[in-house]
Amino acid sequence: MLKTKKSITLHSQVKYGLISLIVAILLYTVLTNLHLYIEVKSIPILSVFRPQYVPPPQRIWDKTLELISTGRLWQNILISLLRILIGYGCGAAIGVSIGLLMGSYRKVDLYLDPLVQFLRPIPPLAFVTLFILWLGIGEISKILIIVETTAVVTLIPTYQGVKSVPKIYLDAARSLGADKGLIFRKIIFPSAVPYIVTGLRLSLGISWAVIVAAEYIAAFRGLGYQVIYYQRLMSIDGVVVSIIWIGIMVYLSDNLSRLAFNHVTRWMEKQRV
Amino acid sequence: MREEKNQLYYFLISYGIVIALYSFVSLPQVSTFFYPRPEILPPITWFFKKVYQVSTSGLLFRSIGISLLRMVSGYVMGAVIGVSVGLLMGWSRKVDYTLNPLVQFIRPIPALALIPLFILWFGIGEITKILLIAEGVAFVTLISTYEGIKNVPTVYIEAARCLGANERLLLQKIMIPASFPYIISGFRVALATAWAIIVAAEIVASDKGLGYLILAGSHHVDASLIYVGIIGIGVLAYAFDKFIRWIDVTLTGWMEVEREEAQQ
Repeated sequence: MLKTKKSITLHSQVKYGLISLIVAILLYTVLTNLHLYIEVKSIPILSVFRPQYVPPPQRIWDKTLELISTGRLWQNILISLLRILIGYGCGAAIGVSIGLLMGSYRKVDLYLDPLVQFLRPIPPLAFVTLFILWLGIGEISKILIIVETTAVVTLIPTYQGVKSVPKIYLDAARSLGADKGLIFRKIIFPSAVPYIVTGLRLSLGISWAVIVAAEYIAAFRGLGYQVIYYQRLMSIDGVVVSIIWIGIMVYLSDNLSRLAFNHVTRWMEKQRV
Repeated sequence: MREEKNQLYYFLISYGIVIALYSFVSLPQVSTFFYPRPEILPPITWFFKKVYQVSTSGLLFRSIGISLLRMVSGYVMGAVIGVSVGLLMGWSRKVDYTLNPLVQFIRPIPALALIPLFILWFGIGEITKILLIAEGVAFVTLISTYEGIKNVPTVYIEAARCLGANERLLLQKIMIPASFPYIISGFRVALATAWAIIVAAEIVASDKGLGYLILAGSHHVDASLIYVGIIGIGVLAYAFDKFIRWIDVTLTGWMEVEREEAQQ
């Protein structure tokens, strides 16, 4: 078989990657289980690997099974996910519409821009305590944080998307007699789609980070709460497992949304993310 | 000139409307309709009084100082690690393939999510917050630096090699400058990440700092204090971002790249 350059790099990629992965896992397993055989505390370097700080893989596995079998994991995942979906849905709708409006109508842009520039640099979590003060500790305050996060993060790329339509498309359409509505639907919006999609994908990842932190601050259910629950119990296994699951959810959301958006924009040439 | 004058006008109008609406809602008669205590929707004058109080007592400056100290230490630490490892990975395919699984494994985990883990490991002191920021910043800068190096047009590299450049020269004069836009945009995102981390960390591990002011405001049912914290953070975050954008323009002004969109 003729080895192309691409297949060579893929081959070495997999080779190096797999080896480093296996070595890392083996090393981790060995180091975290050392305490069973020697007095780890007496050796300065190795004392980092005490079981209270770094859970051995078998405990991670056991904890995961426990969380799955009691159903707690799915419950918490579902709650966090629901909060995100509702907040993300509303926030994206608001952000994209305002972004489209601001991009299309100069007046709207001029009036709203100062407010957007004010909200932009402020980390969404700074508002958590404020929303809790105003709206209580229930679902609404957390969902609202996600709405704010998503709205701000989707607004800006959408605006840029509208602004980046090549003028020549607009001029051509107008000289061919298109009215404003047609221009928007057929030219502006489709041109802006890649930018909008970028914003949508970005805000999904950020929403996960924000909801988890919001749940650290004030929640009684959800993945974030699960982490805090185990932290209060000083149970490193629970904390590590919950954090791993947060990572899994972020990974899944990111990749699923990438597939979904690529499918939706498949009519566009090379606008792949 | 005419455009500038109008910009200020719109600025005043939009803030004016927001302030007017808020003043209405914060009127004692109106706010007590929603909430039992006026401190929850305080009039704007209370906010200014609070700013005065907090400045003269030194609390504001102490909080800003602490948050800035943590932020800057963590950011510098993280940026140094992130950029060096990113350069290394971009430069050497072996290092890239070896470290990639590790990076891809940790990457989906938001830095914010690690807060309780770091607290269990390092306690609720300064080190925890600095390390958290460093982790968040390191990953963001690592990935953007890596992308930067990977995206250097091969034409440049080949041309340099043709002209006899050795590897060090290649790295120094071509690859690093060519990746500047990516690296700097990574710095900007890392800055936003760092602010989010410091705020969340200060709220979760209640301590000193601007985030703690926000927390204290909610504990003592004093929204003006929360406003002070939020606006303080906003102003600082905006200032730092402007600073990095200035660095960006200064360092990459010689490049012809359409950065207007990227500038946002």
